[in-house]
Amino acid sequence: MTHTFAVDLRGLIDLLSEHLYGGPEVFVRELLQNGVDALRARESLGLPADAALTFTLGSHEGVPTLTFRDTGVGLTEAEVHSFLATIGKSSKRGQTDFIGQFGIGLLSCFVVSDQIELVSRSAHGGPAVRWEGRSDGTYSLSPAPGDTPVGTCVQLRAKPGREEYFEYAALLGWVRQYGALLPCPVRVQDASHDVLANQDGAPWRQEYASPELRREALMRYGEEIIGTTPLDVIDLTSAAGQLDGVAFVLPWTPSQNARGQHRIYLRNMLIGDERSQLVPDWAFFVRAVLNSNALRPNAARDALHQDEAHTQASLGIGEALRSYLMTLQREQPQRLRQLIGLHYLSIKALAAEDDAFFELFVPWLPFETSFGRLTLPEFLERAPEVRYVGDLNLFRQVAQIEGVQGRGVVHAVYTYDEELLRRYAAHHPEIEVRRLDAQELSRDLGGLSAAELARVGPLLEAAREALEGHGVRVQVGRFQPAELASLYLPHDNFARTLSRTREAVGGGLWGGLLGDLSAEQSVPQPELHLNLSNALVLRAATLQDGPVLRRVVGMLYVQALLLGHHPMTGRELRLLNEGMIELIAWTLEANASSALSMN
Amino acid sequence: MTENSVRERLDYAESLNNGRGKVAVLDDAVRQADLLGDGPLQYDARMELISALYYVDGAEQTLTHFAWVLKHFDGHREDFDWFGTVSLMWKYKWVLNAAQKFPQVPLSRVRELHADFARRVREEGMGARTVPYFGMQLAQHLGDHEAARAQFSLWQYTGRDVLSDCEACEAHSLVEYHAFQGQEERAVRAAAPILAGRETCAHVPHITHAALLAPLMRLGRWAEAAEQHRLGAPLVKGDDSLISSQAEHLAYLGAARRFGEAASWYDLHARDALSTHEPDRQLEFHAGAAVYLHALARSKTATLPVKSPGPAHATAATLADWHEAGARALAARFDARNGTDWQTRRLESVLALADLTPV
Repeated sequence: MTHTFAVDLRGLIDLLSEHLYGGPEVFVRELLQNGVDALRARESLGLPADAALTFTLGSHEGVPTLTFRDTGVGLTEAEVHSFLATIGKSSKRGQTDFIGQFGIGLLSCFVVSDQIELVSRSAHGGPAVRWEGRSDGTYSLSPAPGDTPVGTCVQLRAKPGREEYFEYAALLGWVRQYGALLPCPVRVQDASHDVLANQDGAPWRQEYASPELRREALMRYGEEIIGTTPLDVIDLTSAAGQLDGVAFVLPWTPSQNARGQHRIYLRNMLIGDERSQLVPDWAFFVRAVLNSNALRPNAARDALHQDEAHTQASLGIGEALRSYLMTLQREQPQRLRQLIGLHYLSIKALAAEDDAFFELFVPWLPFETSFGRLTLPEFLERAPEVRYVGDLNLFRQVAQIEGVQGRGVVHAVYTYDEELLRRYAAHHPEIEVRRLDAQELSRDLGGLSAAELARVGPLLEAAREALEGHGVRVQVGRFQPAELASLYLPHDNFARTLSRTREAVGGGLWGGLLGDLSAEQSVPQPELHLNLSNALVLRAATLQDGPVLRRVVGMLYVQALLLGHHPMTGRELRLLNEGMIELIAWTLEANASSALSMN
Repeated sequence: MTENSVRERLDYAESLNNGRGKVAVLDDAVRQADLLGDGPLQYDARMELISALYYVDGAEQTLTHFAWVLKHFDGHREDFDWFGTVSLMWKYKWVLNAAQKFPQVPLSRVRELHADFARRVREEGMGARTVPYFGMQLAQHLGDHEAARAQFSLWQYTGRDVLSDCEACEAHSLVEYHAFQGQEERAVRAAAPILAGRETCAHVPHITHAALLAPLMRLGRWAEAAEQHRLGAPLVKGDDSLISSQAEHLAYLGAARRFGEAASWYDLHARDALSTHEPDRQLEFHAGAAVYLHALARSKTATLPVKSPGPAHATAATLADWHEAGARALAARFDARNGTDWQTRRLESVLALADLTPV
């Protein structure tokens, strides 16, 4: 008797093939899942001695076939009708034991096969039944042979174009992947092979003669999982989620896209080899293989359902990893340094974003400081507060100033450094963390005595006149190295950027807009520091001549900009230009008159 | 230093996570490009920087660098193909949002900006839907319910194109719009596709969870508010481009009388939030902090944040007053610029959250 599915099967199959996570081979998992569920259901009635799941490859009239057999609870004719006639029927009605939906699971087989033949005899009794479903939406039901054993047998025939899913090596690979942890034997057979796919089971659950042998075995397993020798292996257990498994520390830092590729099993069935949020995002440097006996899958059964239990389990994993790192710090600090050394940039990147991770790693992260390469706790032993230079360009200049170095400065010039320090400040409100600005830096540049200040009066006067309108404050100080005649310290790079952009943009709507923004810049002016330790500046300080002194100061200003790699405004460029021309003219005049006087 | 070395820096920056580190590298690259004076290089470096600024507290810098970029674009129109134009216009959208954040920018200037954008939309033949979309957001900022309604209709009516905000952002804007119109129930319903995980992008659902907190509290649906907090807080924690959302979570924690968590949240975020260069975000944070601290003061429990960013030795009540004063001052500035009293009224409805009784 022919019946029709109650829904548009063709449409559903197309939908499935579009949205199946992981590709058409998911049907392997679905068959395994159905088999596992059936075995479990039969357990309550007393499992037979030959409990097994078997995949057999063959061919029929030249078309590759796959037969999947389970010795589980089987189906009665009524159950077949009930499950298969209304696809999408929730498994909540009746078979609450099943973690899969029998109907949907079988549907995934239609992605690789146009025809499914199911033969089953129920352990509850009754005649054996044969169901044949076709992808055109029809199915038929007929009696099966009387000697059909209890259990279910599903046969698929390769659709044109899907023959690769019926190849031995590929099938064995998928069965191993999905079913590696299953406690019942899973066999994969064809004409010339008969292999127990899950022979080894979960390596971390086996018994070994010694801890060394266990570690060796786990490291070998790790090589299989990650493709190369791991740095270390970590045992992971968590009561929350009833989790057990291992994590392998990667010897390379995976790129953003390649992270989170952990193997998660749910009740010994692989739920996903793709991104799982069970292992915290911050643990990018491990690849985990985990089994949970308590968490729930999502509706599609391709990922875990993210409920409170999941959150707790994830925290449990985080704790286990954290305690591994703490132990490493205590007992094998060399190995921890190795781990940090390998994953440095990513650790910093993540610490800059993720609190838990940050709190874990920040005490061990080295920073470049004026005292050498130190961790923050080490730095704080030498200095009462954390002062840092965040600007690479500024750092280039102040790196040479001795006074600045002496009081302790963190050179937060590498990527993420500043973020880490800001986060450190947020986490430790009792510690002073300050970004150095020009004002502070200038305090580190030695001051002058009252007498000296009086002597440089004319220099300062000339400087103010010469640089009027350039928006810079002039100071005279004394600092090392003496070769550095002048130093330009912007308080805030943005203010300078804004004024340069205004100059470039001119008027109109956007000039007006930038003008509006400029009106409220409350940032103190940048400072130009002239160095009295420098011979040139010392001589300039003795000059009385107004125009010459002004020109010299102007050039010292421009020189400071050039040495500081600061792009100049048009006005500053003009100052440079005019200054050079005038200085050249004076030099030529001086030479000419001395030539004259020699004659 | 050559064009090549600067381009290498730009490539390196691409591999970095979004954040201040990336911005610092790109800022330096812009400076180097400026030193070389290579126009196309200066343009490219700034475009990368503007993209990176989206993820930090960067509106001021965005406006500044965009000004340069636009000028270069207009002056070298023939160098830009369709993709280049789309790229520029996309950033112009961010600029429209950024401009209204600064009360020192007159309303007439903001409107001129919208008009300039609309003109370019016509000339380039792209982005018709974005014009009413941003018009609606401006109307919301001004508190003009009628104008917002009109722009909303136009927005919904016009077809999507390459310049339209992604569906997730548009879905979020729908939530904000309904909340603005006082339709809390509709706002919550409109969030359904986002919460179901069907619409996501860089900041969605991060900002959506936060945006639902106040409507849910006002509807008395405290359990759902708690759920939105649970889901949303980890997404916005410590991210200084999401200060407004942090403020919304802070207000929730205070109104829900979860003072211990509120204190931690405050300690973690207050310093950065209050030193932001974006006055609207500062206003939001002051408001959120005021809600928390007023609720705390009234409950007469002892937990106080560790470090007061305001007056030293403050009690909960004085700190609450300080935040409220800060918020009112900023709201008043916006109102003066806008010629309405909407920002103050909106602030008051936020402060009123402290008066609600959690269930």
